[in-house]
Amino acid sequence: MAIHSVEVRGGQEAASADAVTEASFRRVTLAMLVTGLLSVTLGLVFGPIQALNYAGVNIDAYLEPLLKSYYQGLTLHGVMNAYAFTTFFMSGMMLYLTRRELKLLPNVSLSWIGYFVMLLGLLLTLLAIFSNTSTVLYTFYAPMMAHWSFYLGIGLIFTGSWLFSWQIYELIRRYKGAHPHEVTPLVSWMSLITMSMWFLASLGAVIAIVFLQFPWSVGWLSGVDPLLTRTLFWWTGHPIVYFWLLPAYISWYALVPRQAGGNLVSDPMARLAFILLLVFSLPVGTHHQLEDAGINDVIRGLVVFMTFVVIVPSLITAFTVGASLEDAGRRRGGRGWFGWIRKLPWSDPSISAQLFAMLMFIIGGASGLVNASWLLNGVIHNTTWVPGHFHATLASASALTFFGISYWLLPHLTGRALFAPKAALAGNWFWFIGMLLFANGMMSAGLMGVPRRAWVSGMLPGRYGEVYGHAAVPLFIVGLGGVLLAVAIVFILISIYGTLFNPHKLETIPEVPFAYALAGPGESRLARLADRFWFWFILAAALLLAVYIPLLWHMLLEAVPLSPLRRW
Amino acid sequence: MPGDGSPPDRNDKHVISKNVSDNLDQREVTRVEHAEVHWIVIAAVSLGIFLVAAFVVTFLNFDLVPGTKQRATPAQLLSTAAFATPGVEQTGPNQYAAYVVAQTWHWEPYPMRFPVGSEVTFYVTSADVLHGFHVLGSNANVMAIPSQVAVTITTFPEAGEFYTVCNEYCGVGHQDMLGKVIVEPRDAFSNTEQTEAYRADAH
Repeated sequence: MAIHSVEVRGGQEAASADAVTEASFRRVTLAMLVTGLLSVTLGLVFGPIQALNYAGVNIDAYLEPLLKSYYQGLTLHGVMNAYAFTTFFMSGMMLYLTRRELKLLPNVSLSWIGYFVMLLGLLLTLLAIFSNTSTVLYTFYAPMMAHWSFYLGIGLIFTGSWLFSWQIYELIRRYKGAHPHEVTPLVSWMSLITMSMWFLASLGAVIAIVFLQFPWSVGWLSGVDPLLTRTLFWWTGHPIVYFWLLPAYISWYALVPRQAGGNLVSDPMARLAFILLLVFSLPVGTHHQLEDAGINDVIRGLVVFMTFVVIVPSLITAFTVGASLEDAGRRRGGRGWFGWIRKLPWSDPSISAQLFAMLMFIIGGASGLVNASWLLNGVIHNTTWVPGHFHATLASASALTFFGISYWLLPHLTGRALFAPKAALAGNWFWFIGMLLFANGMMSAGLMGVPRRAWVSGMLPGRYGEVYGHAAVPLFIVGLGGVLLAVAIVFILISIYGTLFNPHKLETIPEVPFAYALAGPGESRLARLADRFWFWFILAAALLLAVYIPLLWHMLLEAVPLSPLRRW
Repeated sequence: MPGDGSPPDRNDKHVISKNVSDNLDQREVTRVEHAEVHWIVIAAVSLGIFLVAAFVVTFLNFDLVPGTKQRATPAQLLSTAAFATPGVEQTGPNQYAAYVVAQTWHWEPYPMRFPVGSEVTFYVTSADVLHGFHVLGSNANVMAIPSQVAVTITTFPEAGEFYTVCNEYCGVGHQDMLGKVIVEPRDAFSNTEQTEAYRADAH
């Protein structure tokens, strides 16, 4: 393939062998991205339905025989969007970016193995959910028990992604071998930090599945302890949100500035942010259990504090990404305090998606401070505030960014032009406004006590108005947001799937827009310090164990195994 | 290995980015770096304040955060006197204890009655799957985990009827799992059974 010949080095034979490997690698990357996008498409179908549920419109009642309950659709929504979409899309994307930046080809067979392991996991999970044997929501708390294929499926999606972590590590190891005195290039290094954080993060759920919930679901174990499995789940369940966020950060730091016509202002600061995220995002999952009995208060206090530490790298990101965008805006002729914002290329769908993602993340991050506060958490715990918060983070900061990346990465991989860019642009606007309304409505209703994950539109006659009438206005806004989001989904997906089949081929393939850093890593001590991968990895693992060993030890000693229950 | 090549050429990218002199870039970088250091210092100082606040709460407690009472199998817990007949008892002049059992899909006791202004300690457990105990309009919001007893203390400053909702998914009837707290004016409350029991204990 002529378009890649620039990067293929060596003799003629090596070049042709490379071209074959390269083509296969592009296919596996595309397979990862498209499988992720198909998953999110399925998950997104249920989003607006669930939003309308809170406005009192019971669409789920008409979905039989496909789905038996709101909760079955909600399980699908959570698993497809939060596990499948993210893990497929991001693993494929980060390995691909690393390959382009380092100009090294990974072991493509290993990538395909990883893809098929994850695909098998995805199919098993779908089977489990559609058969209504596993309506346990994506948190799968014991003693409710899902079908074994549900646990196995999620376990395979998670462990399959480890192969991608390994591949990124392996590429960097080869690169460092050839360039021993250089700091690892930024995007590859960030990808490595993200994927190794994810490896440590996913261990909790994998332990829960492999040693407890899967053996329990096939009858090898008679019971599992509900608090123990829940705590293991949150070991993964919190840092997974950073796993969703960090690939978006990679794009914001290292790609968006270039796309917008500017530069990254500081490479070492980006590394500092990622190091802090690696070390402090892992041991803090227990802050989801601030309202649980059975957890030591000193550990809780420690976890609350460490959760607040994680805010610092996000503040650094706000600064550095903001300054990089300002750099772009001023180079485009922006003047004054805010003039540069208007000059940013808002009409580029890839940029506008990610600018909206950043704006939503301000709301998402700020509302996250409330969740993390020990006392305030008691007000909003398990209310609609929480999904309001994470639809500003995962469903906006991450999802919109991944759509924004798709708008250039799919053309880059397929050689086909972005289909209907105006539809993509309109989709971004609808998503942004729809999600603003949705998140605002959910958070406000949460403050009034409306519980999350509740089929309120399916309550016994008269009860919805009687119990939640005081929150009628925010709940209506939730429904309105859902309708706008449905429009957004249609526009965005038209553009994404249209691109895959677009007959209009590009004459020149766009390069990966790696940004130039004004303050590079070369002379920076911080960058060199951050580049000691194993030091940080071991430190992160040690802190993780320091928090979880004392916590889990007691739970293990006092475990109360409970038999499986089904309540749907 | 195939594809093994030269390092990524950062200068290449610089040429592609906008044409500006290195001097200008350098001044800009220095300025931005100073601002960034200030920004990080502000973040670090606020973090220090959070740290102190978190540990004041941890060690002084103030009874603001839910605590733990005991742990046993749900069957054992439900056979203890307090949970076998879940109810409300008076524990002091203005204090009450409520033993609450969550079970798909109802709350016991139903309803719970307290005089206005009383301080109530809720002891909450589950007989089956996970539930969430939230008295709407109050800060009483804890997980009901089978094998655990969660403890939370709250006061009810105003008279009225408040729904108790389940806020953790517990099956298809989750949305209809409603309980009720009735906060009554003091005089209306005085002759209920629970108060009689307290008086009997006190003498």
